[in-house]
Amino acid sequence: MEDNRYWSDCWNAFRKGDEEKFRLLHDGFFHLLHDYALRLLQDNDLAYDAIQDLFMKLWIRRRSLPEVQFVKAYLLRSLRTTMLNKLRSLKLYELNISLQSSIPDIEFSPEEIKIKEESELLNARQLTKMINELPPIQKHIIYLRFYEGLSYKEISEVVDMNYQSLINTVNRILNRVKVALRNHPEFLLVFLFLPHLA
Amino acid sequence: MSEDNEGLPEDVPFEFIKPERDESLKEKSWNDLLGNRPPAPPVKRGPRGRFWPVFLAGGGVVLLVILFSKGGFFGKKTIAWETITTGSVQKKFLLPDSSEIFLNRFSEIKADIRNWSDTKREVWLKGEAFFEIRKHRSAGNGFSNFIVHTPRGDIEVLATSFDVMTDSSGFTASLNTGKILAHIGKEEKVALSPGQVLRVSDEGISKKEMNVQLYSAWKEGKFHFDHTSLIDIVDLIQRYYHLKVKVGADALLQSKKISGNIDVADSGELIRSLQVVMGLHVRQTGDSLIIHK
Repeated sequence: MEDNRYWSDCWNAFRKGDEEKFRLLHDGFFHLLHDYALRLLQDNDLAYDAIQDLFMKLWIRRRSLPEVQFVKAYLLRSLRTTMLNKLRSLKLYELNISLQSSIPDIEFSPEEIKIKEESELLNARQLTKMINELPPIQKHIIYLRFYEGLSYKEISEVVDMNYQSLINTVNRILNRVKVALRNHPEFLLVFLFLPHLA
Repeated sequence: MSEDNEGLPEDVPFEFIKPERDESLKEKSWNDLLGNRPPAPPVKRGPRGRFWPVFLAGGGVVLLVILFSKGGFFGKKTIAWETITTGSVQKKFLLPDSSEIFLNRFSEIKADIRNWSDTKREVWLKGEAFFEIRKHRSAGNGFSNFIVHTPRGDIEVLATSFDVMTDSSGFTASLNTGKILAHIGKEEKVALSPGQVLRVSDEGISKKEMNVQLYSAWKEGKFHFDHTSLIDIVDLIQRYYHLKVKVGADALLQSKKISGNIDVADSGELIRSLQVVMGLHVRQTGDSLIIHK
């Protein structure tokens, strides 16, 4: 809670024009936001520009910004809006970015996932594949919870999902992973091979 | 942060390994923000500033927004040129009156935005831009004009969408909708109607009916050539792809011209068409291009 209170005090001071606090916010959230932007945009320049764009807008509109309880969630959400607008404007220019859905997809790589207890049934590569094949919104949740360590309350602010359904979703995903890790090889087989048939 | 996670799914059989964070990137980001951030408005000198431009830093800049806030402007008139330059990515931006400007790659547009007002809307262009100008009623006296200045003449606009491209010898303006008036030199005035293209160059002034959609095709990622000469294409290659171009005298002398649409995303396509259509030899080494017959 203190962390949230600290940032929300910081936020309020910034809204009144405190430049020092603006810097604290920038420095405190830069990496989180940059990771997120890079994950979604998959382009260093675009990700960097999105962050600049976000902070520039925050600075310019500081006096009309709302009071927020979860600063982290608010920033991630604003960043996503910024990025979606950016992607929309990019669409005009036929850049090589796939824009099938309004939520850009998240991809994980096997190098960044570690299974806590080694399992003969499932290695990191297979687990990555399993996660990558989840619907975009679920991957989003996995990313925010387990990569960036957001609380469920914060995540529900970012992804616009009801708190309880969010928790149910995460439980469902984790159970699937656990089943695959433990003793249901036939389930795993179905899971891993079905996509090839599709 | 596990403050509100009691009784929640936490028995996670996997974890993510995060890469080292690049602290210098954070520093750069802050410095870029400082460099680009508009100054704090003068608080005590009357009402708040009229608008502050938002500049996004970095190579892949795409969207520029010039914001417009309520209230008057401080009394003192200061010249504050804002120059927007594009590199390898074209930009689209919004003016305070919600007119839109698409600025093509390697182009530059300048505006005295501190003095931007209902009655004075003007920009200076080098390169190419497409304008979608909203009709704007100025206080009291009718509609306010919008003026695009180019080195060879000015284009005066009411409400319209049109493309202007300046090049080595002059400019080309093509009108999609509305009405524009070009002022060339001190005396000459030429009015354009939709569907017309005006070419002002060393060879003189010409006006013709064309498929004007093609002139603004670059907005959607295509170049349009219509009997375009090698000199102009070389100019375009230099501006658009940032390649240094050396042209042999023998190649310059030839008079073949190119017509058609070419994908802008790929300089290769343009180079191939120089080879095939104009029958030239083109050699690329690094960032320079050598063209000869």
